Amino acid sequence: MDAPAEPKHYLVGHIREALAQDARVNELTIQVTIAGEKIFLTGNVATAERRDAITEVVGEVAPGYNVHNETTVQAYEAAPDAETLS
Amino acid sequence: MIRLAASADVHFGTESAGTLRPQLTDLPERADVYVLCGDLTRSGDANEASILAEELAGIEIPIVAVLGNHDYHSGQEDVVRKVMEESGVTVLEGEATTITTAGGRVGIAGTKGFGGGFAGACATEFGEGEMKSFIGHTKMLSAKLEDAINSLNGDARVVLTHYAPVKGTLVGEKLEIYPFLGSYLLGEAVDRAGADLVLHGHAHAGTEKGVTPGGIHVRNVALPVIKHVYNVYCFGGDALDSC
Ligand SMILES: [Fe+2]
Ligand SMILES: [Fe+2]
Repeated sequence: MDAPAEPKHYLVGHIREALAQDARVNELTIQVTIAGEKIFLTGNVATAERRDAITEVVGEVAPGYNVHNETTVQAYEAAPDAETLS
Repeated sequence: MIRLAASADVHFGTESAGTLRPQLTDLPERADVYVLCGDLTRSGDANEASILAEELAGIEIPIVAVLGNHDYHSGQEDVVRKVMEESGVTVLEGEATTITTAGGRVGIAGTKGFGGGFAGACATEFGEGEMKSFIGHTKMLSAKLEDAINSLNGDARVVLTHYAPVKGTLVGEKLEIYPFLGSYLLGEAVDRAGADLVLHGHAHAGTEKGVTPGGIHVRNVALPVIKHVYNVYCFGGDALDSC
C-alpha cells in the first residue's frame, strides 16, 4: 500500500499522546521515530506487560505501519551506589 | 552520619507486584530512611497505590514520599496519598517530618513541585488565566515548601521534590521540555531556606548530580537515571566517616 497520508510530524505527536493517555501504557518518555512505513519505539518501560501494550496502542493509532518496539523493560542493579556528601 | 536511600519514578501498575520487594530485602542494613520522590504509580489509580503499599509493607525503616504528576492523572491523588499513609509511608506536600536515626535527627520537607522553567528561559505569570494558573501553582507550592523547610529542626535537612529545582540534573533531556520538567522557583525556595540535600525525580533522561545556585547538593534519583533500585546518600556526620 501507499504510505499512510497523515504527515509524519503530526503522527509522532499523536502516537506520543496515545502512549501517555492510554490506560494500558501511561508512558511519557517513549521516543518515536518514523522511517518510511516503519515506526521505531525506544526508551525504558517499567514492565513487560506495558511493553506489549505499547505495540498494541501504536498499532491502533497508526494502522498500516510496521511497528518496531525496541523499548527496554527496566532492570536495575539491587546493590546501591553509595555517596558520602560533604 | 545519616544514611538515606532514595529513588523516584517506580510508576507502579497493577501488574508490578513482586518487581520491587525482592530487591529491597537488605535495605534496612544499608540505610536509615528510604525516600521516594514521586511517580509512585502509573496513572494515579488507588489499586496501583495499594500494590505499591503492599510491596513496601514490612520494610523496617521509615519511608517518606512525595507524589508526582502520574499520581495526579486520575484525579485521585488524595486516595493515593491515603493508601500510602495507611501502610505507614509518610507523604509530604508542603509539609515536613523529622526522623530520629542512629546517626542523628534528619528533617525532611517535600512537595510535588511543578514546572515553568529556569531563570532566563522560563514562563511568567502573565497573560491568559491558564498561564497564570500554571506558574501560580508552582509559586504556591514553592512558597509552602520554603515554609516547610524553615519549620525543620534536626542535624540535617533534606528536601524532596518530584519536579526538578535546577537544570543541572536535566542534562540529557530535550531543551524544549525543560519548562515541563521543573522550575527555578523550587531551587530558589531551597536556597533561601537552606538544606543539605535536595532529591528529585521526573527527569528520566536527565543526570544524577547537580547543585543549586546557592551551593546545595541536588540529586536526580529517577530510576532510569541512577540505574539502581535506589542509591544511598550519607551526610551530616564526622568528615572521616563514609558510606
Ligand atoms: Fe516519572
Ligand atoms: Fe513525573
